[in-house]
Amino acid sequence: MCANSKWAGALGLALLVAGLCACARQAATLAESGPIAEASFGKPGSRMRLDSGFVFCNPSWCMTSRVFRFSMEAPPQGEEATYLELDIVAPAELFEAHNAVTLTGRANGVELERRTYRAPGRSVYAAHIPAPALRNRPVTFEFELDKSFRNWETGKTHGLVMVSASLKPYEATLEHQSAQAARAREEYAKAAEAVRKMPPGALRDLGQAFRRLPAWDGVRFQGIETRHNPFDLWMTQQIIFEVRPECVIEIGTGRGGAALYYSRALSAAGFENSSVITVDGEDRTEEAAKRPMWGRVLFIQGDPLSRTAAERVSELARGRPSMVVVNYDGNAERFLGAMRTYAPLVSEGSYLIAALTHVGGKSAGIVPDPAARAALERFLREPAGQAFAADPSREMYLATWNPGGWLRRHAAAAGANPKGESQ
Amino acid sequence: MTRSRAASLLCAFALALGACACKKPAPRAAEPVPEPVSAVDWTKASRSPRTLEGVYDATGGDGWRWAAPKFAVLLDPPEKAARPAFLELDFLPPQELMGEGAVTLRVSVNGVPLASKQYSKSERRQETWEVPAAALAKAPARIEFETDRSFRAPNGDARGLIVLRAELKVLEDTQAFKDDALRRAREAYRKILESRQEQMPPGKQHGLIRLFHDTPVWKSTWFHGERIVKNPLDLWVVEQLIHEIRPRYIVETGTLRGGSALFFAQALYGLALTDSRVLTVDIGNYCQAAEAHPLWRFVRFFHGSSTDPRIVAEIAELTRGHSTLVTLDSDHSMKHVLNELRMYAPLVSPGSYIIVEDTHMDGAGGDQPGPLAAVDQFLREDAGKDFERDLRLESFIMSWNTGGWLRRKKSP
Repeated sequence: MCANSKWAGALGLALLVAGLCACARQAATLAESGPIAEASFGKPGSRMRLDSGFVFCNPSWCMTSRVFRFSMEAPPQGEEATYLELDIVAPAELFEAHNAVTLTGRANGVELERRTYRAPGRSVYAAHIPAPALRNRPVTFEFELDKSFRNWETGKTHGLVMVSASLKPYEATLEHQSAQAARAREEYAKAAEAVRKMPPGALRDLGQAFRRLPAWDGVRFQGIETRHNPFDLWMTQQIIFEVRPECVIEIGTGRGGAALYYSRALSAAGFENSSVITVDGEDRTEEAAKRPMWGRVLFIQGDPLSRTAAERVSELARGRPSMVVVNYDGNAERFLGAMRTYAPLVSEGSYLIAALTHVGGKSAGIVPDPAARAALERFLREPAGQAFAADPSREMYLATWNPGGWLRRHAAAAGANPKGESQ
Repeated sequence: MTRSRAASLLCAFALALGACACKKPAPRAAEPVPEPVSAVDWTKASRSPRTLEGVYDATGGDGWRWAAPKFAVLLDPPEKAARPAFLELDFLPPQELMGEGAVTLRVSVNGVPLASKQYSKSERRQETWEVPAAALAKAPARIEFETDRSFRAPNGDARGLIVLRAELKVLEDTQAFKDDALRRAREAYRKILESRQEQMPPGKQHGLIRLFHDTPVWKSTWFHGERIVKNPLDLWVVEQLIHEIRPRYIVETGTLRGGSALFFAQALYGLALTDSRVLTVDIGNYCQAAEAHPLWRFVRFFHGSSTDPRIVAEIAELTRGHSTLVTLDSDHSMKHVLNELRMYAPLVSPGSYIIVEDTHMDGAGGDQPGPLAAVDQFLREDAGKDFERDLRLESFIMSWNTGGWLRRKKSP
């Protein structure tokens, strides 16, 4: 058992190497004017020096020893950069003999917040750097783990996998961004609530007006047709920003306009390892594939309900934070089938968007197709669907083509804390 | 047991990462050398070996060069050589050559003369010539340009045109063809709009816009972690314009929290236009938080009044000769917006737009003359003669910029 787990760990590590390398390569081709993440390993523009305790390095990450030191240039005084953010992976081997591992850090000798990890996986370590610690430049960081493991082949002591390190102002940290995202979420909920209190006549008028807009026949993103409306895509972009998925899975590619949009939404910061996976039985993506943002899109041709397609997608998404968009195409049975198949891939706190269920011709307001609605309700009653709840705050712009279809997966039960805990 | 599960979990995680990354389309294999070269881009810093003579090395501003009265390039026809090829020159006849009638530009390909053209206005053009197959018998082809007039620069150089790019293309890639396709699309939209007028009288439309404006959602609209006080439908339209125009510069007045500047930057990045920049002006400095966003590296913030002549001059200098899109969203008094229109309209490149925001306020029954009144006045003035309202951009009806999408006409 022990040997097995060791092998699994080693294999995992080897694959992690391959994975991270490949992702870094892709990020490099996308970010033409340099990497978005400062100071990621081996990328041009990196402003860090590895002083000691790095066992080996690859183009995109380094394996540290139990104690490791590196130095970074801080931006000129006056410009705020008082947070250190580390993107790290705690390897499974660390937890073979220990239940918890604690990371202690110092910046120019000043102690930083400690963090304890109880499970392997990737996470972000962020710590405030007190101003006195930034006085000497470059700033030297020293980190120490209370546990380590020995590589079974080389006999060397290993600690963490470090993917990137950056000094940034508080506003650029993940912590701040999640706080902002939470504020936005609260406001969406309030706004949606206020919209529901509008006079019914006004709501009906607006709904009908939206449905009849002459623009819907030719909605194009970067010249590529999409059946989604701009409000829904806007809200999906905000969800992407909040959830920070590594895989956005779309069932029903069409011409690829929406997949391009999701990819563009992932082109901003911190999404270097994210991609869009989109499945359709028919390949009509020829035009979309010419756009630069298609570089992040993986198109899978095949019946989304087939075992091959489903297995392939699950394989690609396994272990990665994911969200899923299932596009309704008029066949309620297949719609239900797609929700059942792909809902399990949605990570906790992330979304399954049951999309494009609005129909009813141009004369009616925005109402869901009865068959699609029935399928949606049935799904929510099933065991797989019970992990989800509709989030009406996502419908605050009134004109949604996904009525009742913004499904949020319940957040994790208390206890599990993959991000490590502060002390 | 748990540990082994943890190990295989990481393994699976890594496997997924690896598999996901590895199944991305492989980068295209390098073409065998020598590659045919069908374009010369003088906006790039490096000197092209395909420029044979007559283009000075020094770049003016960032991204254009002076040519001598006679200059020549060596170009290969486009790959699909069986079809007729078109020569396109992106250039600007300088002000210095104007004044005494038109300047004439003569062109020949491998010694075969093409139709000569005359210009009497100093503005950027993408001129297209059809090239007869006989002229391209020898490849690469020597293409010569000559103006009948020139002037002497302070350093003694004889100068003719300001040049940006020369290229041999197939019909579908020419600007003239794209413009024509766009014109046809516009025509179709116009028809849609006419039928819309029939469906819904303008008064009813205004009522709806008002109603939509009063929905309690606009203060709760965010772009990433920053507030953005704009309508997502309008932002959608702007992003489509950015896709059509591929601007080198987007000029925005009224930065506020910087959410919209970040959005424009993302739209540019989404088209891989990483040389393009967003120039944004605000009298207040409220965008510190947005500055921390990585997309802010495509943004330049100008702190001051949008009608401060020094700021306008600096922006005009940067955008000179480049495709530029302008959007006005600062102070909404008629006087201020009219001033902005007069100062920023000359920066807009032909075919591009100046967008006047929040025109719906006085359009749908606001009590003060505001942006819409400024647009009406501007379009009556001489400077406004080059601009027209583009109604196709209002096909969502629920726009905050009703009557404020102004397109700069291309020269006939």
